[in-house]
Amino acid sequence: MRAVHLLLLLLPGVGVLLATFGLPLFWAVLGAFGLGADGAGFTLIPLTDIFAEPKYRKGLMMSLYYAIAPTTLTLFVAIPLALMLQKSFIGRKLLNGLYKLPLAVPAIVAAFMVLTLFEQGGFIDRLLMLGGWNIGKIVRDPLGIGVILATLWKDVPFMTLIIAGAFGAIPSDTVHAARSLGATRLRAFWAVQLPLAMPGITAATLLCFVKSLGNFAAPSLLGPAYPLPLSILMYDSYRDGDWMAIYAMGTVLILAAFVVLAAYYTLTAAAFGTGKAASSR
Amino acid sequence: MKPVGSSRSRGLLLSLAALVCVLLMLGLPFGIIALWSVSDGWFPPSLLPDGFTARHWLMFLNDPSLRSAVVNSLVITFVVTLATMIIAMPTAWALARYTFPLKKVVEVFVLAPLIVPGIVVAVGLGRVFLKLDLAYTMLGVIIIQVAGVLPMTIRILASGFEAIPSDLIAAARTLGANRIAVVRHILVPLSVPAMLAAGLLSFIGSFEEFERTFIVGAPIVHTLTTRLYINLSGAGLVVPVASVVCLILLLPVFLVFMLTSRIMRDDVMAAGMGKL
Amino acid sequence: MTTQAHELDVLDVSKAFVGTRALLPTSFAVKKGEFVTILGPSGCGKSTLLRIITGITEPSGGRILLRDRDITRLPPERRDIAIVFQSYALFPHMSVADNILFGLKMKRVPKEERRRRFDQVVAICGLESLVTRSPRQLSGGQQQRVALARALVVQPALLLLDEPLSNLDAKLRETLREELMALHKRTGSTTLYVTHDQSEAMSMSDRIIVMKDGQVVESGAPRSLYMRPRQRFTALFFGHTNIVPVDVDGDRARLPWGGAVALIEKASGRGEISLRPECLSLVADPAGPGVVDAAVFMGADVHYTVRIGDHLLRVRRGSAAPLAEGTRVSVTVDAPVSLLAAEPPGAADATVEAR
Repeated sequence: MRAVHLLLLLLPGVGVLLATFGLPLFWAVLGAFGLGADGAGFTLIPLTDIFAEPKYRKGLMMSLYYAIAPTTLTLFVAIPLALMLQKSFIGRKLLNGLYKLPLAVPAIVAAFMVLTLFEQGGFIDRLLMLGGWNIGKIVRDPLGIGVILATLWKDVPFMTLIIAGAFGAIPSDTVHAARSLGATRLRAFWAVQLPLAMPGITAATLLCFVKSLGNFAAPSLLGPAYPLPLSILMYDSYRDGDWMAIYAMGTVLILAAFVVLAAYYTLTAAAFGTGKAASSR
Repeated sequence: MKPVGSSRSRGLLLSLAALVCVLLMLGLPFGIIALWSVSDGWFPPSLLPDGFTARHWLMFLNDPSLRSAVVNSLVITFVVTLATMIIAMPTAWALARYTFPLKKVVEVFVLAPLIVPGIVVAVGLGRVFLKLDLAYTMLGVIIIQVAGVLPMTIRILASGFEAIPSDLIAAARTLGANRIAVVRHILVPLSVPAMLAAGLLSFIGSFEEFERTFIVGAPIVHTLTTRLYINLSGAGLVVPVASVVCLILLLPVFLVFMLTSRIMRDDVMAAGMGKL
Repeated sequence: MTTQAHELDVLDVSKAFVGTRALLPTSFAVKKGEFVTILGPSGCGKSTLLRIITGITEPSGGRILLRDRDITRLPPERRDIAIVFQSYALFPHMSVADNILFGLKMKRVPKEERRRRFDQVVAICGLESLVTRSPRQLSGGQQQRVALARALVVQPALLLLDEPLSNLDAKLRETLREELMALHKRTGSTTLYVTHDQSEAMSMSDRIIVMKDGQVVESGAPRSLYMRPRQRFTALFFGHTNIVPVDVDGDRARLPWGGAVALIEKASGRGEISLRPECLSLVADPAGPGVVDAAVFMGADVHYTVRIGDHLLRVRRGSAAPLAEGTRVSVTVDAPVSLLAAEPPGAADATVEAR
């Protein structure tokens, strides 16, 4: 009786996710090996192609770059911002409400903002012109600075929200205790606050990384025409109906996400000892 | 001897930093877009538009394809938010209040979509929709968006439900409340913050969604975001028109955001997201 | 009297809040090795005072001297004051040993000295078997001992204890109270203890500072505060008492039902005194002015309610020879008392000198 009850409760959410996430994903991974409805028998050629063909190989590199670069930069903005929000000052409430606004702004709007501000002839360029400087190529540049800026702008509030929550959950007496035992503000941060907030920081970083790994709008509007990240290549193949290539790229992206996930967990666990056990609840 | 530094001057410094951040990061980009949307010619190197006009806004009002995109966006968002909440609630309740074998597996599965790049799921599901004739339909777009926001919604609701002490339910029962009364007087009021947070996130997640919608819906079913993408990626990018679309797109999300952020609690939202 | 140096001097320290919980200018001193308790109901400002002394909160005015050094503007880590919080505030991501070693590392104590002090404090606090555990695996009492060890090991000039026993159950509280006192005797650390529990304060302290509404009401040795309070608030806060109006003439106070009590000081006019139930003697006396209204047997004691004139007196006597209800009695007072101050103390009275 209780089991039936439980199954009925679980069914809607888990069922929908099975149908819309589990099955397509299973199908895609199967398809990458030439199995399933679109395949013609087991093969490794589509997968090996990704590492052999420069277009795909560079695409994978580009995808990783578009994910790692903004996520790293976001960390450096979000942690100080999250710490700042723990302090009390005039206007804190306002800042606390406003900084989250980009969460609600579509990625395309963020990309458009970067266009109007940073393109040659954009507002920042015009400001710099007053001083006789030139902004240089920031949009559709080989380094993808425009893409990184747009992603950063979207990710900072997301990460800050989670990290501020993690810092906020640390009892203030724990930090006070460290201070009265002789730790300076900085050492109390390194020895107590940071390790205790680590689960939240880890979660935020990973979520950001995965979100950026599949980033489509910003690279296609602001990124260089070559090399294109896997997300855009996947979309092109989708319109062409090249299913084998899509499944192969998808599988590689999933693998990349898992590898980074595993690496990150191993690294943070090594650096902060029992940090993971110190849940921020 | 180094003084602690007066907390007042430190506070002022922080206030100033906050002001600069908000102005540069939010005020500037939104301001420029707003100016563009009413500009009548704005050529380099001038820092202000050469003239002002309402022409672009009027053009928008008279563009039937844009109007239909607005309607699509609103309808899809409302349906997605409602459907997601209805689907998520029982499952979140089960995850929060029941212990059962393989619970860990179910939890990981519910979170798994968050650690798989969205485009992969979108393309995979798009393939299924092509077979089922759901591609290029409203229903298809709705389903793929629900799939996108469901994991986070379940997560936030579950951590909200978890936080309700069992003692309260027991106490209510001993005071004569039946199951329905417990739900009405204890569970619903105490879950309001989590439900608000979850609802808001699915609303925003759906309204600002682009990639999945673009893959499944475009070019037949357009929402505001996919329309804007067409505007921006096409050869003839008209900045003022794009600015108008941007502002239209921002209006409802900001409204909902402002209204709910007053009553919403950060910790609820962060608790739902900050656990992997 | 004041030749002995003060370890801690709190001089006119105050804190203005936007709300109601302000701290009025407060002064007191703690001598070396002394165990002083700040006692008061919740919201009386004692925690604010403690936070100011630690350096967590900045005072609005006043100065704090520790060993004659002005520490008012120093950050917490440079004050040489260690604190044990009510919540213990153990670092959950460190083992018990790392928690205890934290302060020594921060203060850059040399390795060997570190080892020595660690072993010593672990032995004193009886933590030998727990050092490798995580704080999460400890019971409340064990956590409390770790927090204490963590504070003691840095050998601070001043040890602050913020309601360290209030999160424990009654039995454990009693045991740890005794342990704390024994520990204080052994280490001789100058200690400032904050609590709202008057029995804790009386049993542990050399001196008690009573606080109410953001200011000091009165201070003194536990016994004199209990038996001869000068403030009505103190008299009532330390347990049951009888507040009785008297006519004062010199060092005698005339009771309303006849008879008199010795006063420890001279005064004149009308006043009030506090008579503890156990300081009153009842004698069966057919001509006496009182009648036993109720007698409740409590085991070792009998609690009497005696009607005498318009007054109801609480009296507590041993149960060896109980008096029946309705017995006519005369009431005498065993010990000299002091007059209660007529008015609630102003700012001037709040300043208490160290004795």
